[in-house]
Amino acid sequence: MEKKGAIELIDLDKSYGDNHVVDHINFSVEKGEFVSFLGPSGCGKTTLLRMIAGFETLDGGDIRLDGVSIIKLPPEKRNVHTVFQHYSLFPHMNVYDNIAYGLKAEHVGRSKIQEAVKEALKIVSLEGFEERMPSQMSGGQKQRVAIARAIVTHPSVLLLDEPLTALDMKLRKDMRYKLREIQQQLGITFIYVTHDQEEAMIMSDKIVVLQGGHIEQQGIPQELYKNPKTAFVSDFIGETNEFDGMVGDPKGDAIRILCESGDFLATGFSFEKDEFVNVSIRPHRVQWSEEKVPGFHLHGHVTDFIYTGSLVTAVVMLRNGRRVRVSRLGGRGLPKLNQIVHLFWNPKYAIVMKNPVGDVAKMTGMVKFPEKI
Amino acid sequence: MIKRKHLSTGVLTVIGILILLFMYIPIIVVVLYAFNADSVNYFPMRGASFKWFAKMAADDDLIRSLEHSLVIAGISTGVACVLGVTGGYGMYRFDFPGKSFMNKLVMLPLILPGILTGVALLTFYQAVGIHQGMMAVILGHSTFLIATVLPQVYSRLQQLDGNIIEAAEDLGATSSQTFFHVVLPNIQTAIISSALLSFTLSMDEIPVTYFLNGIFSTLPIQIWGMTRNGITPEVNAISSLIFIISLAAILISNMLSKED
Repeated sequence: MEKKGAIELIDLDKSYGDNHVVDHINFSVEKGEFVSFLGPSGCGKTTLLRMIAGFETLDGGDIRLDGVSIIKLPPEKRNVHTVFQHYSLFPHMNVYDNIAYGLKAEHVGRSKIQEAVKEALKIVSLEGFEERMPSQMSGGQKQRVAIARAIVTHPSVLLLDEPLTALDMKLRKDMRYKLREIQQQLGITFIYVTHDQEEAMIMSDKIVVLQGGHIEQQGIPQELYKNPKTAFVSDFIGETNEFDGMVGDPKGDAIRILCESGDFLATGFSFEKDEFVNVSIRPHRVQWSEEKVPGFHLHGHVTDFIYTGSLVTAVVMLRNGRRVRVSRLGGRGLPKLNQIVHLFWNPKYAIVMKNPVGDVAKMTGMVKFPEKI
Repeated sequence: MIKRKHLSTGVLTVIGILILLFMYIPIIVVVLYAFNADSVNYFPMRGASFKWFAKMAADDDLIRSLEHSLVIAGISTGVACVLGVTGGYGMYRFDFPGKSFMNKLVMLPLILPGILTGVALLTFYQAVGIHQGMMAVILGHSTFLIATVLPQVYSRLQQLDGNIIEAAEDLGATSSQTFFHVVLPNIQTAIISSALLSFTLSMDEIPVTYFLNGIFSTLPIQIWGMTRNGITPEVNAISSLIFIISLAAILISNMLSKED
């Protein structure tokens, strides 16, 4: 199947009064890509989606679909369809008529409509549901009808606005794989808006992390997970332990970071001594020992365990109350409750990032951290 | 303590029943008298008969006035529905300065005394050259009936999931396709219910009609004229008919407006 639906967002800009919801965004999606806009509520991701759909006007910039500007077209003229968060099926039509609607609006012949609806129902695995009314269906089924309705006219791009949020957990997990499967089958571009990083990680070819109307970072999921550029991204993508601290002396390949709970080694480039930074270390990368480890002064005691499926996490409380999570599959090799432990890790897994606040020490003349604890 | 509570509910029930009786006994009496075998309204009745209904059906003036009323109510309800629905939809889709003010303003004809509306319409129509008669009455009724249709339609639209309109446009429907395929079916109960209400309001409207009718009669004006020489059983018969039809219309209207 021929892939289609390349989208370019060029210097997109939008404000509501003083609220700069979309701040000069540049971004491109290749044909047949599954891209997620990921961010907290209010980050501008839904506005961006609605701009592409044609429901929002823009203050500046351009949107191109397969090379052609679409910003002057009304929603009904754009070859872009939306799957809404709350399904928004037509309540007075049965499943067949809901799905057929886009084709009927285009005055497609009856036999062709029947064929296309059948095909769409097959894709979302809802064969035999033609006569059902939306009110007689479960949330998951309605969502699949909404998807069928949006794909039946073969759009170049499908926009999905947090389509799984209204579903229960189990269904949500199944639907992730189903959506990815449908996208692969159709070969069209999916732009998926979500605040759930797990969803985005599982389904996407590319993730765009949005914050405050601008792109915080974009890339393939593994890249964002391994090399977050900002504390915001590392916090948003996957579980992480975060430290804010100050750059001490470089020591070999690693740099020493001082924080209020002690000091440790991490990896970072082009950071100056005494610069304020954020450091992210994933819970499964944190190791522990009963004795001191050279280069690390972080000790505390285990206060709690968290069980999330196969992963068990020990919570270690450091000096000054900072909590660090240590995760192991099946809980193998975790310390005991109340055990005193020294934490350390391979410095290459502790990522140093710029502190978004800026150089706090220089601004406030803050207290010096102790060299040794 | 418990006893006193029982006592107060008992008293409340009695008062409630008395209020209902106070409201409905007159109507019950009219309906009963419509079947009176006698020509004098007197209680207890000495027999029952349908003859007043027969006499009513044979009264040409009465039937003609009924026809007038039906035509006026039918057309002005239609006009009010078209204007009320398009107006309500416009207010729903577009934001414009003074929208909330307009929403209140449109209710005014319902609140204003009919006599004031009547005088105002008569003065205005004379100024623009619309003569008293059927046309003037239809225009007048349409004007104040918009006040029943527009707010009901507007409030139903506000309960609607606005995304279904976007969904239709998203799927390639033009604005008129969206309106007729998606919006209208979802507000039709509100339209039917307000149309029924409008129809009954128009059917028994006197003050505005009286200013605008000129020489012809509508049903309520005809009945009013007939009662000048005492209430005849014929009037009771037509009143009972109107009562039953109005009751049915109001009940249907109520049922529909409760529906989601």
